[in-house]
Amino acid sequence: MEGAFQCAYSVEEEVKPRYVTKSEFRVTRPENVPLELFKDSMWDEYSRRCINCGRCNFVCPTCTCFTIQDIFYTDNGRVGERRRVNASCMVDGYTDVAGGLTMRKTNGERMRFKVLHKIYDFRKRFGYDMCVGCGRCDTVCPEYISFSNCINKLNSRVKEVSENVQPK
Amino acid sequence: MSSQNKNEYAPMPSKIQDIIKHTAQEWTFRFTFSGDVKPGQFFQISIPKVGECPISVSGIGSDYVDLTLRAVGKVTDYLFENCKAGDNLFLRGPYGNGFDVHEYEGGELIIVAGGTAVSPVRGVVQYLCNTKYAKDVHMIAGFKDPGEIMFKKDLAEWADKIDLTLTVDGAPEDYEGNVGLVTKYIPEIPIRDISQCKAIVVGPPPMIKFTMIELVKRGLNEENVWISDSRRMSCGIGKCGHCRINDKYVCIDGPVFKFTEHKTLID
Repeated sequence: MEGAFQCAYSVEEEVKPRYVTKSEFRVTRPENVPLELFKDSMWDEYSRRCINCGRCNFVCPTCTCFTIQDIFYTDNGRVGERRRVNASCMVDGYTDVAGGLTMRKTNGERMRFKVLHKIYDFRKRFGYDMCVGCGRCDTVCPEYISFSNCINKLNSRVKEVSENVQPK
Repeated sequence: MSSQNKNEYAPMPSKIQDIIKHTAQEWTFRFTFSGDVKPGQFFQISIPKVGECPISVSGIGSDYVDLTLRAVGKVTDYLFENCKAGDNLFLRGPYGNGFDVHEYEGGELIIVAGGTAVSPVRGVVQYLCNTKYAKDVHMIAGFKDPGEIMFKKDLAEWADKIDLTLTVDGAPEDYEGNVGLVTKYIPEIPIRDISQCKAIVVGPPPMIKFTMIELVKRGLNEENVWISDSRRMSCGIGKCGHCRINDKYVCIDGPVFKFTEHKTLID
């Protein structure tokens, strides 16, 4: 029996594991996003579809937003900690200020805020894109909203808008 | 602890030296603090078990900062209900860019402030009051009604030194002062050279919007306007993301912005 194992170990075969080398779905992100697209009607679609559950944020490997929260224990009220807890720009309360003002009320606005951060605003400040293209947000969305589709939509919308600009 | 291992979120203990009550809802807390602070910057008041809240600096002394706040949230409610002069609390800061007071020396300046927003510009006015440029400062301070007027002592003091217009949005019939929105008094400001004049506009977003319309109507250059913005904030150091607008973080790039830059920031 032992001999059989030894025999099996001694035979070495070349193994070539297969793995994904290319994504079938291609996205093209716009190089520049003109300011008028921040208020564009393309975002209204997401106001209708998104239910602001925040899953896209919580699965995103590049989402880092947090809220500082004091958590004190019930069994000893004098002991507790101040923690950073995960925050999501899609979920209610993210931009609420004391006094009742909310900066981004509709889910479309929140979608625009998130998408542009991942593929435009972050790059503008730090020089590279935030989105890594892992597709987790596409997979996890209960409303089947596709981030990658949105990037392509935004790209074609940017083209449309820049082509429509009449030369002065 | 070396500076590399410094915990940015660790607050420092600070004693409440005094509490100045303006109205039932708006009090100034004088916190012990010594260090460099600029008007327009803000502190995070930190109360263990309750939380933190960002409050802009309304006064600066050699060993204190004044933080003026309205009781509208968890932390501020706690402060109003439980804290008195002599109590020890925690602070961290100062954060934000603040106003560069030297920028406004030597030329005409219009300041339009509404309500609690008088506090971020209070330091600027106090500074300019003690310079020879005080006469060129034209300030319009607006409050909701006579009962809401804050910093009464300061306003009386400033009235002698600068051109101050105090107005309230609405008042009982027997009220003797100015009644009307701040925008009503903009056409009346005596300005020698509007093209070179600078302006600071602070207040609620609709007030900023309509004030700007009036100022531009008078011929003011948008380039010469500064505003102070406010957002929800958690960290104060550009990490938590709450206050981000486009590629700017209000807590580190602001809260004071040039108007022309702020115009391009869409929430």
